[in-house]
Amino acid sequence: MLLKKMISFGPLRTEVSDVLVIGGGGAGCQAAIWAQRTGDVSVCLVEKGVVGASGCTVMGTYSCCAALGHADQRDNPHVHFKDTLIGGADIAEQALLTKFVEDAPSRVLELLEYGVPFEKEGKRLKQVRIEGHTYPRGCFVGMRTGQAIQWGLRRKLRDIREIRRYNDIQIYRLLHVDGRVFGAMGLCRKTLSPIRFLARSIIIATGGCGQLYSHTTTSLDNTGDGLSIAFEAGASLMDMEFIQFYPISSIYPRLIGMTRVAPTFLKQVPGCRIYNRLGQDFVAAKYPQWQNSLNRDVLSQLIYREIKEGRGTNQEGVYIDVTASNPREMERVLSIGNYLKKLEEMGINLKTTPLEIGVASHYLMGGIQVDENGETNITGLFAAGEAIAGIHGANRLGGNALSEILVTGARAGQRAAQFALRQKEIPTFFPKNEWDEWIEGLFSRPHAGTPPSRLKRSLQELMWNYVGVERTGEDLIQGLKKLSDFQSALDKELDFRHDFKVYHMELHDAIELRLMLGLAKTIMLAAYKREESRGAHLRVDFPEPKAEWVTNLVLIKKGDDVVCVQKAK
Amino acid sequence: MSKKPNNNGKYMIASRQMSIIIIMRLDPSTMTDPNPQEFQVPYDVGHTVLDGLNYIYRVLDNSLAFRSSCQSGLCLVCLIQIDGVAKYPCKTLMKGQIKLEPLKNKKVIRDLVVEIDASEMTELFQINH
Repeated sequence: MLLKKMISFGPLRTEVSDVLVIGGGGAGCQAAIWAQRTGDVSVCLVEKGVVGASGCTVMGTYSCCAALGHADQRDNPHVHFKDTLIGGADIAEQALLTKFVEDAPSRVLELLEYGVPFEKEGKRLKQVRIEGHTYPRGCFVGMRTGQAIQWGLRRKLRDIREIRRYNDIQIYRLLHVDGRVFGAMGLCRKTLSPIRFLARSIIIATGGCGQLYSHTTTSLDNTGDGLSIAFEAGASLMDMEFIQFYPISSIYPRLIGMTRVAPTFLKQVPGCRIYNRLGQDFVAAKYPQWQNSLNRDVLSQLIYREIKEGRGTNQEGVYIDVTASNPREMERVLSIGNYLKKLEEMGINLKTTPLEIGVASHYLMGGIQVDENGETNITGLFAAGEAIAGIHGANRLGGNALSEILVTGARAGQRAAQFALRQKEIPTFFPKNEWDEWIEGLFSRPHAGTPPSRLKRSLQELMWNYVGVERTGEDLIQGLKKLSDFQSALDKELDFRHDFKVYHMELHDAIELRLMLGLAKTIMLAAYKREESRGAHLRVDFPEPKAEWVTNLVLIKKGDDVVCVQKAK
Repeated sequence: MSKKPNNNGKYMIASRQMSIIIIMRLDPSTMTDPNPQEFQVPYDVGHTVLDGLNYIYRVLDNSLAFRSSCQSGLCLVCLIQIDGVAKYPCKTLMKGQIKLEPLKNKKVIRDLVVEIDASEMTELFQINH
């Protein structure tokens, strides 16, 4: 595959399987398990970090929502459907959402068989109420629900011989012919040799793209690789303008060993305040019932505005404060997962100290456009987890992400296996493309200005500044221009370490940067097109939602151009 | 665009301190024994060893290799030997002098990166807690 003159790259390795799953987080593991179970097919599960550990699933702090009705018998999938649709400002794909709420209870209960220790009351699971949900439906394992789910899935994986796991493989493009995919090209980080996966069907489960922003709560792996390669291969993306910004993300003091969303638990304490540098309770002034009524989008926008207008702290934050709350109430609410004890160990006493918090990118509601079985517009290509669009509409409710990976992973796995069983030949010759040459060329390019890690940072800042929490048409036009300048300067700008060493972190950064760039424009363009405000998408120049925008924007690649159109009815 | 507010927030950023980080570096393709390399790394209160590693990669030596993902003590992929004990850099605070080595009894890929399988990580986690 790679040029002969690049003798330093190892020989090309080829792995063949029925189903290829790209992404080894929760959705990927679930998809692999279900694909194998469905057709007794062979599966390759490929991850750029460590299968079953890297990714964002482990960071799912608290709840996994499913309408089990264990805590309140009135709960059922119809109410879950209604809550999620309304929470997402009406534009969720109803077919996907229906399957999501219907399947979620069984998928969650199955995890008990995998040894996930959900907290129980007698024989029933404990369920807590999360903002936006009518009834308590968040199942949990202390404050490490995502980690417990991920560990359960990986225990299950370990017992299935037909699933081959590959760590440290960076996939950078799909192999496709005439609108059909047959595999993916990757580079092994451990050996620096190219590796080619050939398969009858492919599932993308690489999560979202939180790392496109300079302020983010996501894991370092969350660079949107799968979205970018699918888009490049002709898959359509949808709802890319809807990035969820998390309102209560930790700034100071650093909460060691906790995710950045950890201060959010303070919100549940009666008497909790959020105020600016001047001590003004700007949230309660507008929404007296904010503690249990505000969705993430509204709270993020309030906090962002406060900081932007200069009433934030010197670290661009605001305060969340429970010092005036009844200590017993505080201990009751924060008893979960040794929360208070952990803070005490860090020398943080919530009875005397407020925490400084800010807004950060958290989740991508948009993603690859799929049907309710995870099937994309490209034959043989499926997607699952955060990488898909449609379930959450314009804003995701807390607790719906962990159940989403379980439901969509299972459905895509099932369908991809059924599809694979019907296919026979896989072509084995794929011409080299510009991507392969670009990677080879990295080691011989002239030394220029900026290392990839710093360029990545510039891109993240560009995105934060031009298509962040608040957007305007003017900013977006400028942003698109800056993005295209960034892109055309990249090949001149990019400095790269030539020494040919395995686990070459600059190489990881360079490939991720290029994949991120492929995605950045889709977000900006969709945000520019949608001339209204809805859910997480706030256009300052069009502050109201509009009836004609109860629709979705679909993005397709045409040559080097990105085309953005309204979804066909 | 976000504006910088005036500099009178409640918290003042604590003054910077220096740490000497010694990393036992190894490239198995060219070396048989690890080679200690010393880095001078400035840090603030609350900074972790992972912050230190990121500083080295971004500012001092971009050839360094180490693993990290969630940066919040949940994925466990960053596990290395810190001053001789298996610890997570993302959960260990910086101090005046620190010695870092790859995880013991594992095949070293390069520097602090070792061959690891997620199922072993659960066991390592339990040993550590």
